Order: sequence, then C-alpha cells, then structure tokens
Amino acid sequence: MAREKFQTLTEPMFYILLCLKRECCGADIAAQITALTRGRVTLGPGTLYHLLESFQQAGMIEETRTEGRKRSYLITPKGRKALETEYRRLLTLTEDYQTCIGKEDVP
Amino acid sequence: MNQVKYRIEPFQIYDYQGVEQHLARMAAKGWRLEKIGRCFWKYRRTEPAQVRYAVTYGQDISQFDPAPTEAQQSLEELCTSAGWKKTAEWSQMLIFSTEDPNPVPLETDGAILLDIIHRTMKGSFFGPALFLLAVVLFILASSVNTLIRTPLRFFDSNARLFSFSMYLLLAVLLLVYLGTYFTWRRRSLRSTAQGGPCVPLGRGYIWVEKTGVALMLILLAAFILMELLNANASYVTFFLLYLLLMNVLIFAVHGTNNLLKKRGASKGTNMAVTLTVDVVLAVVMMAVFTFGVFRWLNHSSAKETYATADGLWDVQPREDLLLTVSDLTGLSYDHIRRTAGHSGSIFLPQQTGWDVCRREGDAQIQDISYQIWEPKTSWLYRVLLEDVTAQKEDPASWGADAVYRRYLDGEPQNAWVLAWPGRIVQVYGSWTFTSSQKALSGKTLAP
Repeated sequence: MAREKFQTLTEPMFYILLCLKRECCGADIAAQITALTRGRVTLGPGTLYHLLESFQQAGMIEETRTEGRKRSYLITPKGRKALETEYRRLLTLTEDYQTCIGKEDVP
Repeated sequence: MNQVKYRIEPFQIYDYQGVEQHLARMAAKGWRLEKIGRCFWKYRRTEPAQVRYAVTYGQDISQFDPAPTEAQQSLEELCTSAGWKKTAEWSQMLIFSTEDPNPVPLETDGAILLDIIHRTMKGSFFGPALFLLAVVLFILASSVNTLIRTPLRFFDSNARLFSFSMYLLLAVLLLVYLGTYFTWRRRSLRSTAQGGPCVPLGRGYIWVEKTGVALMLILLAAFILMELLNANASYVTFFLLYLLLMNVLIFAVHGTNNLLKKRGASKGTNMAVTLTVDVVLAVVMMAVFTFGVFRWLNHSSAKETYATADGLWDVQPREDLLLTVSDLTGLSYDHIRRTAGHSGSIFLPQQTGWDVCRREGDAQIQDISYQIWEPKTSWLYRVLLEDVTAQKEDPASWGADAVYRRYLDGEPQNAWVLAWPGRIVQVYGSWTFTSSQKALSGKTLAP
C-alpha cells in the first residue's frame, strides 16, 4: 500500500483507526466495525491484516501486545492526526454539499 | 477406488480466482485439496460438498522459514476467527476453505489485494523470471548471430536446432507469463479504481502453457528419435543422463531445504546452506558428468588396434565405407585404419568416411576421406555451395552435375566438391586422382 494513499482514508481505513483509539486485537476490530456500521461495512480478515500491516509500517498504529497468535494494536499520534484530517475533510465535504444543495434538499 | 489423487495444476500464483473456483469444483466432485507439494497438488476423496475456497497472500512467507512467522500466524488467526479453515499454502499464497454458505470474504478490498499480489510478484517472481528471460534472450541472440553469419554451423547438428527451439519456446512462454500478468494488472487497476474486484484472469494462459509444454515434449521426443535414427544412441543416453542429473540436483536442493526446515534451522542458515549445496553439487555433478562422458566416449569408441612406428591400425577394419583407397587403387593393404559416421541435422544430414592405408614395407601412407551432405532445402544447398572456395572443373570425368577443385594459396589441392541435385560431396585424397579414379569416386558417391 503506497503511503500517499493514507492522505485520504477509505471507509475500512477510517473505521480501523477509529476502533484503535482503544487497544484492540484484529478479530475485535472486524467485529466492532460491523457493529458500529450496523453491517454496512464488512472487513475481510485478509484485508484487515494487510491494512494493519500497512498502518504499522506507516507508524499510524503500534503493536501493544501479543497473546499467542493474537496481536493487539493502538493508534499512534500520527494515526490520530490522519484520522482527524480525514474527519475534517469529510466535514468540509458535508459543508460544501449543504452550501451548494441547501439544507432543505438534504433527504 | 483411489482415495488420493495427485494433479499438476497450471495456475499462476496471482490467479487467485482461478484457484478458488477450481478447488470449489473439485470439492463438488468429491475431491478436497489436502496439500500442495513442489510439483503436485494432493486431493483426498470425500463426499461431494459445496465448499467455498478463498485465497490471501502472506508477503513475508519464505520457503526457508522453519515455521510460520509471527506475521503469518497472525494472518491465519484472523482468518480462522472469521470462520475460515486453513487448507494449504503454495509459495506466498494461503488457501482457506469453509462450508459456511455465507462466509465473510477473506478479501473485501480489491485494490488492497491487487497491491499485495503485485508486491508478492515483485518480491519473489519477477526477479527470477526477468533473469531467466535475459539469459534466454542472450542465448537466442547468439544463435541468431550464428545463423546469419555461419548458417552451415547452425544447421550442423540436431542438438543445436533442438536447443534453439527449446530456448525460443521458453522465451515465448516467459513473455506470455509476464505479458499476461501486466495485462491482468492493468485491467484490475481500472476495475479496483472504481471500487470493483480484480478482473478474472481467464483460461487463455493455461492453454498457452499446456501447448508450450506439449510442444517441448514433442521437440524432445523428435530430437531423441532423430539422434537414434542417426545411430547416435550414446548421445541420447548422455542427454537423458544429463536430464536425470538435473532432476537429482533439484531433488537434493529441495531435500536439503526441507531437512533444514524440519531441524528448525533459521531462515538465514537454511538459505546459506541450501545455496551452497546447490552450487557445490552443480559443479561436482557437471565435473563428474563431463569426465564420465569423455571416459565413456573413449571406451565405447575404442576398437581393437595394434601399433607400428607410424601409428595405430585397426585389427578388423570396418567394411561400411562407401569408398576406400583399395577401391580406387585396386591394391590390397596390410595396415588399415577407418572411421565413418552419420551426423548433421534433420535439415543438413551428413555422412563421413576416412580410410588410411599402408602396404607392408612401403613407407608411404595413402588416405582418402569423403563428406556427403544432403541439404533438405534449396537455400541450404546454395549456402553450402557458396561456402566452397574452389574453382570449377569439368564435371564429365566425375559424372557429377558440377565439380569444384579446392585451392590453397593458389595451389590446387587433392580435394574436390561434387554436386548433384540434393547432394553435395567433398572428396579428399592424398594423391591426385586419375580419370578412372575420378569416375569411380563420382559413381560411388552419387545419389
């Protein structure tokens, strides 16, 4: 995964970082995302693993614990910043939408 | 009824959809994948069932690791917790299965999967493929250079034609392999950029691979047959022995790797020892093979001889020469040494003979030799004649269509080139032939 891709986050990336504000293992992340999005976003274990590896390499999350085969992670300040930046970007998009379309047209 | 089945599967490592669909079909027929070895995929008979297979990739998986790395274990744990059961691994590919009709897909983001596949390919496959392609193209370029500059040399043996054809086929297969991957990647990049999955690879490349392998086997069989027809059984034996040794080498290297893995040697140790074994064995085997070939050739070509002051002579000279000194002179000789054989290629077969004689009490040795070519194309016939640096002579005394006498530094040599349609012969004698000897030579060596 090229690092520049993290300048904007996909939905799975956004939710992974969001879940990792508290220490969490991979399987729990997948379950939390499904619960949080009420099944709208499903994350396959392969995809989750590759994203966690990429985030870790980019210094956006860190491994905190290993219990047997389970690894737990936590977001880093760099990851928080990326999450915050994405949040601001989404807010900007929403505001721009409202400015152009108007609140009355929002379904 | 067999409970186990072994198959050679022609999949590329990046064709995950092909692998998933194939394994599901096999399971529906009652054959479940159990293990993937170096060559064969092992299936076990079970009740036919609807099994779903899914593939993911572990970039850091190495054949030299004594056990799954922590990262691989972590990946497997995630997949297991999602309801998937690890079935087999093949290089960096991990194959999982489940009977759950609606499982969570292993990979839910085509772009990420494509990226992982590309990194896997870059890490383990492009390097060897490009290196091999470079070597093969270099050999092909050298062969084409020979074909252009000295076409007769290019066509002077079936072995050269066989190796050229094999390298050409290998180059085509490698280019198809790389071309197929990059075409698939480009199309998949377009698809995943729009949020879709990687595109299916299609079965075309499998047919290309199968055709390539079939052609290689046909070429190999044709080469062996041609050499046997040329009475070169020993050459075929050497070739088959060489193939056997290559397989022994591969087996020994894999065996070393597996043994070290079982003994828990570290990745670095395993790589170093396996590579050392590979290089040392290759050198030793080639040395032993080369030495053995020379020994065998000397032994097999050894005939019963006796020695005089001027050389070795045959106890029982062969009788299969088309033309001998005795035929031309009408004399009988006390000491004779003869060689003869068939060589050349399917396009330019060649027959040779050499007769050396001496009469008891006569110090002078007389000898003649001949080479007969039968070019199978008019182009090779022309090239062969153009290669002759000689002056034309009257062909009538030889009974040939055309005759050329060879010259060296302006001096005529006792070497003539005789031409008939489809046959060119070179005759050499240690004396200047008389008219009747020329006529007899021409008559004997004519088609």
